[in-house]
Amino acid sequence: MENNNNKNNSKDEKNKIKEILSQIRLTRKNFGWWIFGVFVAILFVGFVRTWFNPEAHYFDPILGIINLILLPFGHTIDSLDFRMEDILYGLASGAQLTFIVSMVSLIVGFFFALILAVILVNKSHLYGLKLIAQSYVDFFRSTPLLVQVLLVYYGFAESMGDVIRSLNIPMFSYEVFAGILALALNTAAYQAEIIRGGILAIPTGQTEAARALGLTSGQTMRYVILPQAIRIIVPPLTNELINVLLNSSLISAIGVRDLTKKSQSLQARFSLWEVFLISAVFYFVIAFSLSKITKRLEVKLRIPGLGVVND
Amino acid sequence: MTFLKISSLRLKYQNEYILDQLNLSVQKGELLVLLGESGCGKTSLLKIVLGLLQPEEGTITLEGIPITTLPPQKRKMGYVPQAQVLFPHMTVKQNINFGLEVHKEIPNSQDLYSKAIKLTQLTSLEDRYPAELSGGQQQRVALARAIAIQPQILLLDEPLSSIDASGREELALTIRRIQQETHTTILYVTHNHQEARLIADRIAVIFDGKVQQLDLSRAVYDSPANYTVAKILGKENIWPILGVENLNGQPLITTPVGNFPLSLGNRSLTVENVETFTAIGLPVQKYSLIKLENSDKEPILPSSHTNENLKIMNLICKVDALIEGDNDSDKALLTIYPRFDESIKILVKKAEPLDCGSLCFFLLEIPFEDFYIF
Repeated sequence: MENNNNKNNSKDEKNKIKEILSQIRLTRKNFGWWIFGVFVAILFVGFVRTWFNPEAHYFDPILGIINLILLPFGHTIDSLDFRMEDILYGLASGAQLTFIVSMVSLIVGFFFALILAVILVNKSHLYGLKLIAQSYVDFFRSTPLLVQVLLVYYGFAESMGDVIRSLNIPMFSYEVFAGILALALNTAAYQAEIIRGGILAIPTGQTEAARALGLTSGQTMRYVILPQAIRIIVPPLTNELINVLLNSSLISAIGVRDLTKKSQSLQARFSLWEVFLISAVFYFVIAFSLSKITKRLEVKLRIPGLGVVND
Repeated sequence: MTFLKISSLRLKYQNEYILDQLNLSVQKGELLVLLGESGCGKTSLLKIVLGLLQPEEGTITLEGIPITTLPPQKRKMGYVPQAQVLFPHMTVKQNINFGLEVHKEIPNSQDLYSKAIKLTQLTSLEDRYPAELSGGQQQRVALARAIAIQPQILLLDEPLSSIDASGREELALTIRRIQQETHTTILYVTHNHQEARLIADRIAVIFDGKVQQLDLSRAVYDSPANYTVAKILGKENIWPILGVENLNGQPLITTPVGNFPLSLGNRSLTVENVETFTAIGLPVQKYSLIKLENSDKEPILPSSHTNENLKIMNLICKVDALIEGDNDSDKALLTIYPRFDESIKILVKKAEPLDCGSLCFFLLEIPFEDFYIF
């Protein structure tokens, strides 16, 4: 009997492996994912190289591949345009910073927004906390991001500037800190509204049923409402993710050497307007792949049988 | 012995008391139906019992222990809300087990789960998600989830309202069976009097923020306390008493269908006690149209005159619907117009061929004894 079970198990496992293999087999449907996967793999190789060789740049392998493509035509990047290599390296390191800054501020902002949203949907006034949260959201949604960035940068300069500078962490200057903080504060206000909307979309019948089953209101939020709200807010959060990524270009105003700042300085150096075109391509590649990944996440999180499915 | 006692309960909603000095006592192990029109505060009453709403005044005691200010998680009651009650991100199994996981103090939770799932006949659907179930199945899951934690009292808020007609009776019987097998006390809210009659041990009719009548199901139907109760119970051919008029020294009861003397039915009315009655009624199948003419002629103004012991009504009427019955008991639903600006629906026996939608006159002779008054 046990033997039989084992056999069944191994059969199941085999089937599972087969299923996975059939999913990742190169077809027309997942062609884009293959390209994306190879791209990420190459980037990964580049990053691994930088661990062993501090001199190397993570963009080296990609440049190598571009050279490989140009080889049949009897060219390299350098021979096509002598400025090209500098521009690509410069923009690549700018893109890295842009990506890190926007991801960190998005994640920090998300947890802050979660707290704000839970406060905002609460029925009671929570000793004025609700008023504070609402004013916070109103302020950050009704003032321009650039002003907020400048406000944070100059506002915290005296108290935080020297402390952060004395920490001396690579890539984490006071400018980067102020940029991340400003972006996180801004996106928290928007995300709070998104999460609030997701929470309010859950029918009250479920809250009532959960309370009747013996949950406290906190537990109801944790086990019943938030797991569903997270699924609802994935599409609007994708919007916010792309917004943060693209809005992060504003922190170039306080001197963060992000993608925009890099392209500005490269343009000044070579007086070549096409630099901005290349930087736009960089932005596009990051934003587009992120939106595709979150789309995948949305499909994965979907509750079977619920809602309209036409993709 | 009174299990759940609600006394002098008041609930305010937007400057209006929707529940006003409401008293209710529920016996242990019974199925009590709260019957009332939509918006009369039935659901609010359930939520107060559950603890989701706090009343302005009044107390609730469960087995003699006051629970008025207790939060819902400490009351251990089962609740099935009106709609969209299941957690869509959990399977049927997870949904039912959810309550059991919260109540860690309950022993043998696995047994309770299988008992609940057997009672509601869900064994084959355990791994489905709520969105993959039909309305009736969803409602059964909600029921299973509520009874799995072995509640002291089960509160059902119109559990049949979102289900098609064929599934309705089946689920009603399932609820009835659960109640009989587990001896759970059930408070059942509905606006449908047929549903109430099908399922109830006792019925409490709620109107105007109060319990108007609380009695055994049969007793409520046989002798409704007043006009509104009879209306909510879906009685036909009843008219409210508008007042008492003096005509030529003779007191008459005024109703929308005309005036009546005080010697109505088998009750002895006097001018003093007439205030305690609210309506007159007419048993349905007894009457046939005596005289029927086509409406080609000049319409005669409706009139009604009172004989010694006979009420003859000569009225214009419109045939609304014909109801086929078994041999010779075909009925017709008529709209009669006793006055120019009023219309009343009346159900009579069809004696002559009628066309639906046609306009006709008819003369109705009804002996006074046949009217009943309540």
